[in-house]
Amino acid sequence: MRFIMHGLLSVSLGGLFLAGCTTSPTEALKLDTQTSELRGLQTRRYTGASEAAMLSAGLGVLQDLGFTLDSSESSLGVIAASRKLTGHRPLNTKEAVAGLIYSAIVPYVAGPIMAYRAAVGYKEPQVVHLCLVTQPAAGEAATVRITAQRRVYQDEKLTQLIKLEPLNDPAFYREFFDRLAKSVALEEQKS
Amino acid sequence: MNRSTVSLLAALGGTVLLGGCVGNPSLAVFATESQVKLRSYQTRVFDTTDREKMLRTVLATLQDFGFVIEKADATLGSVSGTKLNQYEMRMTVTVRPQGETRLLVRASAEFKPKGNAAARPVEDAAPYRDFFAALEKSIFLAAHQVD
Repeated sequence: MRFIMHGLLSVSLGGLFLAGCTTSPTEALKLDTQTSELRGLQTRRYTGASEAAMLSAGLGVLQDLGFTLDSSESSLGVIAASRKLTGHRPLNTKEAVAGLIYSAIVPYVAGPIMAYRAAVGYKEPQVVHLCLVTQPAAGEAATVRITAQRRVYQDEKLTQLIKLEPLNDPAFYREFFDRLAKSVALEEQKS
Repeated sequence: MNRSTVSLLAALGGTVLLGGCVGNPSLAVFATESQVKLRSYQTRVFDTTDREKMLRTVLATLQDFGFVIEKADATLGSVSGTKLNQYEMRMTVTVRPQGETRLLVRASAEFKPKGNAAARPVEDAAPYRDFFAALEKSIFLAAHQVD
């Protein structure tokens, strides 16, 4: 009896610990210190441009980048677009260590493969989802904010989903707004 | 009729009767958990009639939470977005006039945890409370519970 009680107790405690590891909807709707930092990265203010002009310039840049339009609502300044692509990611620590071990064991076989992998990286078939939202701002200006995320797959047929993540790399947003600024050739201010 | 036949008949009869309780499969979509309570979690009323401003604020609030907007419709007054961060959360927000002076905002969400778990509707009060807290802060208006 005592044995069963102990068993039950440890199972329920284990359950409690595991429950702490799963993400819940509550975590998805929490604003943290990162929020305003990200907002800054994702937003630019353009003076001397109407909201409609910025929306149309944004669509142009997205098309140049190979995105297809999924939906839009110009009266609210919304564009949703996506793009399938196969990117390459660098090797992670585990893969690099494994590669080095193989290279040490069978240098003539694993060595060149390892060198190639290190140079090219691993393929990452993915779908990038992006939305661009414009808002009119005071004094003949408009703000543009983009948010983006991606679904990464194991295979190029996009059947085995392995990763869901936001695109929060500052370089991604800088590059996008650089192109947008060039396309409208307007005075751009970081808001 | 012996005793075992009687009990067999009783069991059969019971099964048929209980089977009737499972309900019509074509009506499954109408069966949702405690509708009234859930609706109160998901709904707030704001003292404004500026529907466009409210929709634009909803867009900004969803973006603050890291959502990527998928669809927006100014005529219908609806916005839908998805947030991917290992999990997947989908949210739809609608903005409708209520009476002459107020707007009714309703949010509903679906959450799919990491891994192979199925997506489920979000039926807790907390996520909706957090969403409306952020929305009222952005629009500088108080959100009222629906009476």
